[in-house]
Amino acid sequence: MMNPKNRRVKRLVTAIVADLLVLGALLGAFTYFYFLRERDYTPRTLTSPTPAVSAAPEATAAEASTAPTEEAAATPTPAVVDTGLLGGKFAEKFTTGEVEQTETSYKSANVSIDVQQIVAGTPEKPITYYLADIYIKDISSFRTAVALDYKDQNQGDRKNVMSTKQLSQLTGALLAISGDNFAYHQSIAVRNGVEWENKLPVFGDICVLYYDGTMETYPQELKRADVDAIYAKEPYQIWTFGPELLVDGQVPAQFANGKANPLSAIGYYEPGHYCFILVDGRQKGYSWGMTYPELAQVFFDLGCKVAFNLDGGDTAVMTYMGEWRSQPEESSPRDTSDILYIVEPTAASGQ
Amino acid sequence: MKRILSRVLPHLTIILGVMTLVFYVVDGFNAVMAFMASDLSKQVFMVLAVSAIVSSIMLISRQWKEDDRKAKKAAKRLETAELEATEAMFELEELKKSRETGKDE
Repeated sequence: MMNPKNRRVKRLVTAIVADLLVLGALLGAFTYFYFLRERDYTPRTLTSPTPAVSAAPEATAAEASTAPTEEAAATPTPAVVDTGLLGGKFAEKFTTGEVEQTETSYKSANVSIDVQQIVAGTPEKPITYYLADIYIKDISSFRTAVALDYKDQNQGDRKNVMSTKQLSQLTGALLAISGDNFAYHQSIAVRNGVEWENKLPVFGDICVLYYDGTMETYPQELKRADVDAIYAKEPYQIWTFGPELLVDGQVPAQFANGKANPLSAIGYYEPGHYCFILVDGRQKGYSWGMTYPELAQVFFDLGCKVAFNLDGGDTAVMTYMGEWRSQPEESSPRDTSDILYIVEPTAASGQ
Repeated sequence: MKRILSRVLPHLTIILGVMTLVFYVVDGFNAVMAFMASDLSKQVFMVLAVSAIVSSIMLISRQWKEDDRKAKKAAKRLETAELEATEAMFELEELKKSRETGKDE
């Protein structure tokens, strides 16, 4: 017969093991419902001054698996589309019609992209980031792509996420960065004038790009009336992530998270002039990563009026002409639900 | 039902409590994942709160019952002691009386 002390120990161990098993099962269920489950969306086209850009240009499987070659990417003389976004300024940034493409820049009559690798920080803690200076004459050059629109080309198990590189190749993006990964969050998501989700409360700050090329950011504590006001101004893109890196054009005094990480962010100077910044990180000797205050300071020093952080960490990557421009920590970085990308305007590319 | 609840609820409270701690720690590393702020997390916190409140009420109720039982037992013991003391007093009085009667004779 077991003595009372041994019986008590056995009962305690059994209870702990049973509780841990249930805890594991509950955490597993939470992970499934919070991250892995593919949510149902009913995309809805919003009213816009111009017809909304089609969410997914048709792409064949063959196109999907092939990165655009230099010849293919360098579209020969796209038609000139100027809707006056830049108000006739920065003429020197564009060509008169031909395409000039190098390993770090792309210039046509409609789009100008210049990507620079910048090394900052200290020798012990270097920070490498990529700054893409973007000028566009038509807002349809600034687009987003959602992985769910490319289900047929997605060979992964999960159809709501895809590699940024593959998405950039499928869309024929000249330049692309990973987006806000809205499939993982409760958010307001508008992509190319199509509403994917509109749920409050949102999980982070909000960035809105309007059809007139202006960009604004809003804090997380949005009320339904605030969202209605945003919708009344005809949003072209809405991202939910954050934080806002500049508030009223200034670096905020405080940020919630002070750790250095790989980061992906967007900046706005004026309608038609934007920048993407991709900070590599967590790679000893190459790039440590950046904190939010450091990144905000970079945008401030660049002269941006608005700056917004997108999903960082293993998701944060940049491609140029369908190939990696940044150097991801992993050979296959975390898949994302969406990307931001720059292309020739829809009228010029015939989409 | 009550018996099952009283056995299950403390375990549920522990499990959800540990789950909340896990969320708290993960949130410290990566706040943007919103482990402490998502709707699903809020539901977990709500269930934890209900479970904690119900198990606490059951525990308090059991403690009160135990207190009542102890008080009743003590009262009974006191009553018995009082009875015994009364009987002893009576016996003492009887003894005194019989001694006094013996002296007189």
